[in-house]
Amino acid sequence: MKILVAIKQVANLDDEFEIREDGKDVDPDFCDFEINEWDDYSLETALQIRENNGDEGEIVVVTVGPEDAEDELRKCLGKGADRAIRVWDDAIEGSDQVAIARILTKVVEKESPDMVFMGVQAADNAYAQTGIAVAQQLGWPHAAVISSLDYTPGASSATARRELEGGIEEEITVNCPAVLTIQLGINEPRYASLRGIKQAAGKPLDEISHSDLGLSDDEVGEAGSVSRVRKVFVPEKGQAELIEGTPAEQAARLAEILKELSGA
Amino acid sequence: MSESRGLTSLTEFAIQQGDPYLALALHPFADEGFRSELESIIFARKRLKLTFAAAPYTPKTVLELLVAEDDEQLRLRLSRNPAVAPPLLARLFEEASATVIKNLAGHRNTPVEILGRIDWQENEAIRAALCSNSNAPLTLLRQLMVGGTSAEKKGIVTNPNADHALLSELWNGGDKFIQGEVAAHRACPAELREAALQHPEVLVRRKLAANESLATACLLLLMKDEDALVRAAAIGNVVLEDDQLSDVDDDPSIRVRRSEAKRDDLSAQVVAALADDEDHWVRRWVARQPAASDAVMQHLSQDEVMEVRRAVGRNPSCPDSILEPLAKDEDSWVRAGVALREDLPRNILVGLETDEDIDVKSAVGRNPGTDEAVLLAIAAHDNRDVRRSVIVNPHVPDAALIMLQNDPYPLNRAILSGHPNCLTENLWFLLKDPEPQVRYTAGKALAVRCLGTALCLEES
Repeated sequence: MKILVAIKQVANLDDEFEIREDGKDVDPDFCDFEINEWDDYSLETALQIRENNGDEGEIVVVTVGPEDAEDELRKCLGKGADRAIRVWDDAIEGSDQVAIARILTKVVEKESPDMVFMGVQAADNAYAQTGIAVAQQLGWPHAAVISSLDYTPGASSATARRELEGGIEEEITVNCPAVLTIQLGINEPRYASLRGIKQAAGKPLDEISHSDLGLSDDEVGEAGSVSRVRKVFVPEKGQAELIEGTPAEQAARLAEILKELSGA
Repeated sequence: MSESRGLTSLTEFAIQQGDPYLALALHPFADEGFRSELESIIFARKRLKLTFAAAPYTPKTVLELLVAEDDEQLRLRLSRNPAVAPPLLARLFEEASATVIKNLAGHRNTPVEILGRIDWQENEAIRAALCSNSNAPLTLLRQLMVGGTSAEKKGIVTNPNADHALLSELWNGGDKFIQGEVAAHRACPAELREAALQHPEVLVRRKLAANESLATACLLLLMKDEDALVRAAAIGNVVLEDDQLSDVDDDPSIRVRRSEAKRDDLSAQVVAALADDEDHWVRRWVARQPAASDAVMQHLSQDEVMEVRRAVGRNPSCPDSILEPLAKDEDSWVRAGVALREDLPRNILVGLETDEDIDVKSAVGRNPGTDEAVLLAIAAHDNRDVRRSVIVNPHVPDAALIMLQNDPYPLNRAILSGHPNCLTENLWFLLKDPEPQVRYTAGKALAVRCLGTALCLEES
């Protein structure tokens, strides 16, 4: 059994931040970086499947990102992933989700996993497209927003539940191998043991370029993207009400709002 | 090993590690000769400077260096940081931008002299911040009142420096919310207290009833108010003595009886009268009363509501004869409450040591009377919150602490690193923890211990 888990290092913004000089992203000096929350759940899903399979099988984590992203890969290795792959070179800079999906598709083709897990979306860009784009490029079955998964390695299908609006769930059968995007709350992600973190230092972490995957320069970066970021900016403030006044006044206004919302 | 080698070794280790959080923790303790090396680590990247400028745990010695930098982004963060001391805030004031000034205007540590120099006339945000600053002096408040908006006056009215004249002015021009805050103010003039006593608005009378500088005679009148909220506020006022409460236990309003039950000075008579109250919150607070008799506690220990039974188990006066059956209660939260008692007799605690419920296990983990073998087992429990309970146990065995320094849950290691129970060898181990908070806390604790050893050796 092999499960490939794609992760992303995302930016967590400071309260006060500045936009980069080119206007296309936040200045990284004002960001802390961490693993995308959804990807924590994806990895945990894979780890639990392996544990239920008698600890047989391989879990490979992959990310498309610069050197700093290795921190998140190491953390995944510390939690129990076996191997990590980081894809990056200067030409990949500026890739949109379709170009990223193209890169990940090549990794999937190279690794031939039984399943591919990704998070539903990334906390910073929130496109929620990469997983499905990979499935489309692979021509694989896929399902999104997975809130529960029953999968036995080697089986030709898996049963999953998808989280829909209004608290409704949909139960589906998906043929395998498949690409699944995993929702928050599907499990409780573990913390890496200190022993695991130390062992992670010795686990393989391969760095490869787009050309190592057989991709041309036109297939990555801005050249390989179907969309481009024009600008990132802070919009004018919206319609939120700031409740002011004495504490009693604020409490009275809050009670009014709650009554309005509850239809009382 | 001498103490000076301890601190020196620690500092050299931090420099060798190149860890900014460890370097930050040791900076105030390090000799001048080491500080510049630590600073090169602490300030290696702009991201670190921004983080530490905003962090309330940043030591004063590092904040001083950050204040000296000419960087608006740093100044913005420093001017909001609650750990920044008055002299540093005064330095920030020099050549400050409007946003930094606004932050200083609202900062509780900004020196009064600086508050007085802030030009607020043309800037609404700065005015608002000054109006809400509880350190703003009376002279400034008087200036802010002139032409002040209703929102600004609402900031001023809660300022402890407001005097009779200012409060009278606020009352005369204010709505019910402002008048309520005036009535609640310790400096509320006598004539306004009289006016508040007769005020048609419940809010104003309620605020008056909560005023801890109110005369008892006023409170006794408010205890007879037609509105339950006012009566509840009056009865909860600490000014009242217990012998003035005897008529309250049959008040028709639950709010009033709850307010009474929450007092910690009730007489046995009042407690007994409230013990059969239909409201379980009243019974719950009554069960914790120091004056609750054994008979009352016995009665409430059989209450149908779990929280009431738990409250009996948490009453310091609860006799063993009542604790014993509570330790076998069907509800784990009740059993856990008993297990938390540090004075629990061994024969009762033994029964709880085998309880598998996680709340009971956590309570047993904290209990200083728990058997050492049980503590070791709890330190290895599957549940991370259960494992953590052992850290705060005054009799935690060293072997458990050694186990917990490897705990996968970062919060547990963070709690360990900051707890006095933590062994010195734990702290050295935790200096290499993956979590920056753990490394910082361990480094600081170790430095303090090294200094403490130094002082002892000097004195000897």
